[in-house]
Amino acid sequence: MTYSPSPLALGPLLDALRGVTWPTRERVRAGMPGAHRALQRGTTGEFTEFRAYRQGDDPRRIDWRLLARSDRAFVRVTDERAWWTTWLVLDASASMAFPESGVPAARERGTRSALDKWTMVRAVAIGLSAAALATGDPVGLHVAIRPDGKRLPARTRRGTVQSIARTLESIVPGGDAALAPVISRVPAGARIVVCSDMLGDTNETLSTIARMGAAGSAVTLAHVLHPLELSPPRGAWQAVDPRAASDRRALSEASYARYTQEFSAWRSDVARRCLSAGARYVELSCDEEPARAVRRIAAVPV
Amino acid sequence: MTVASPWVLGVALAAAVGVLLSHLLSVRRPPLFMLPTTRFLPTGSVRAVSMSTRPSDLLLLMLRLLAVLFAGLAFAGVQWAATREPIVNLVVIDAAAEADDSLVWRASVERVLQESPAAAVVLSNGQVLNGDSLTQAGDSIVVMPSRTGSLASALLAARRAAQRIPLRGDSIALQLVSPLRADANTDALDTARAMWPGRIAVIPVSFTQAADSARDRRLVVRATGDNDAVRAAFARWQMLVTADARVVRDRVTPDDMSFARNGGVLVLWPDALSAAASPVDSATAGPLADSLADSLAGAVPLPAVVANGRALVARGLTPIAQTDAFAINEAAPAATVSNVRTVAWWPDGSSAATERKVGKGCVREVLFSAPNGDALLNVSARGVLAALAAPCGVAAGLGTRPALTEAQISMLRGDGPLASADAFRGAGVANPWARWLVLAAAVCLLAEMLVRRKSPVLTQ
Repeated sequence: MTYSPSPLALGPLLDALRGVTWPTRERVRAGMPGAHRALQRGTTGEFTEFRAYRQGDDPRRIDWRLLARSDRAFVRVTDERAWWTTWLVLDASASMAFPESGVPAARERGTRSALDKWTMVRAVAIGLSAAALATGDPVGLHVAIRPDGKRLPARTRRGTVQSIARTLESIVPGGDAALAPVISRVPAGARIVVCSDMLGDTNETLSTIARMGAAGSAVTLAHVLHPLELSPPRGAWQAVDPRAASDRRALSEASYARYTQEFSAWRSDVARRCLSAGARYVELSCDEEPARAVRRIAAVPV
Repeated sequence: MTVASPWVLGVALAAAVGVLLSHLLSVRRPPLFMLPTTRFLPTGSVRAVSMSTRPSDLLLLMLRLLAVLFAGLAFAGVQWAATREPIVNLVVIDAAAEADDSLVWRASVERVLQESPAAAVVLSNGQVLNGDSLTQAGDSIVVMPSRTGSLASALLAARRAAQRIPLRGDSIALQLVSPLRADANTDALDTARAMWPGRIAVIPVSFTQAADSARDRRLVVRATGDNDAVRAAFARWQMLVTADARVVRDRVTPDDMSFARNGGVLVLWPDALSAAASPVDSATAGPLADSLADSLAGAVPLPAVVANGRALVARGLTPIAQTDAFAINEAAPAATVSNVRTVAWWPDGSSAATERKVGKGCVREVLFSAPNGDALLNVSARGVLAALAAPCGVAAGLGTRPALTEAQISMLRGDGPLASADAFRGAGVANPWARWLVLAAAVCLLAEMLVRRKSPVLTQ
């Protein structure tokens, strides 16, 4: 069995995300004018409050009517708005190529047909890029894949979404590229979305996320999960780790409960550590509509 | 169909059942499943016991079953024979050195073969006469008794013959034709008997018993001279005379023929110096005359005449032909193979003295000259003289030969079943079916290996 990426229809996905924006709750760093409130106050934006005149303020900013009424000098203060660069960091290791084509377990009755993990990540990344561009934020792309990874600089031009789509379509997950170094390359103070199954360098990735958060970035970890990982097929199987082909273990009724318990505990630990690092933790299930997942990620203000 | 080793066939059937069960209850590796979260599974053996109500891999199962069954049939010695005789007869003739009555031998063998046809007739010197080449009952069968061999060698010859000749039966009935003399009980007899794995039918040769030695027998020698060597010899060895005999050395008279017809033994031994005998022409004598001529020159050993196990070696032993003076009148029956027997031999096996039945008696014609000197007075001449002075039709011996005791004959006969033909089929006679069955098993194993390699790997 070999893996081949499923085709992704961009049209329906982007139509489903038409009008979706990606606001923020926090104040962003000052930068190019954008849609997000910036940390820095200014005089050209929307009026927010009066402040007592201090020595050094521009006298032209004094509100003369208020001075006439109150006989005290106040200046008008406004909020500046800036854009917030959004970076999408995607994991394209071998574990993301799951499931392989034609796996009988994928046809298990009662299970909604789910996308494979990489296709789900592609769809969510394209959707998030469209939402970010709709907000006026530049979007960049980092893909962790051997040998050197893939990178698209952050842009706001038209065609950025298509460019990201084309880049992701040409990638076939494989190998065991580390995710943490790729995250480290993202400039500080940006909005970072990490899409990964966290089955690679989990500890290093969480440490990097914590460091990026401390440096002023807003990190969201989208933990990609497949229904077959949550509920493996019943029966007797010889499970093989695609990252380590020599690691073969028996998947049977006797080991099913233990597996479910261990996997659930590990997911909980990852979520706890992610939250402790100041990042946002979101579980992405491959049987969810990609557009819905994008709304779920973008709708909650970060 | 016959099976040599049924237990081997049983083992093969048990193995076939085991192969069938292995296709129902097999412990094998489950199919592969690529799972990125394999690390959360407990470590342990990846083998799983799968049970199915229907056997898997029917083609492999059939090939394995066929291979096991073919091998089992081959090693069990299964044979399919169109025609099969339950018992194969094998006749062994103990032509020991002392069996010197060819007429009696022939009659004994004919009687045995008439009762049951034999697959082969074996002489104690190892010569094997194929039973198919022997004529049926009623025809004359020429079986010359060998001057060599013994009872033990006869049994060994029988064993070798059983291993060589193709056996189409299950058992071998060995019929031993022997005079059963006591001197046949050699040290090798017990060992030779033990090597025959079955019962033996012992058929004693019915020789005419020698005359009662206590009765006085009279032998008269009629010669021309007073110093006749033959007369002196018979006078010296009177104890060898066991019949009323008349030795004629000059010419035969009608009275001599009457004597023979009335039951006497007439010995015609012409005097070499008289006109009654003429030397054998060297041109017609053949190799014997040449050897004698050379012996006279001293180049080869001296001539000899053999009778009763003793050889008379002396100069002056020359073959002669009896002249008309010793011609037997037309009243006597013509000499035929059935009424002439040899009583003494030259070393090359040709007759040196013959006996012809005439009326109640017989006429013995001596075909060699009496040696000069005292050669006939030596102990070595006893055999020839005893043969010439024996009663008609009797295997002349130096006195009555003791026979084997009943216990010895019983030991020779043995008890239990006949010898099994399988005991002799080992390496000598191969089972033709075994080769083909082994080949079929090998072909099935090869096909099984190819089919097993081409079977899809146990993956998803």
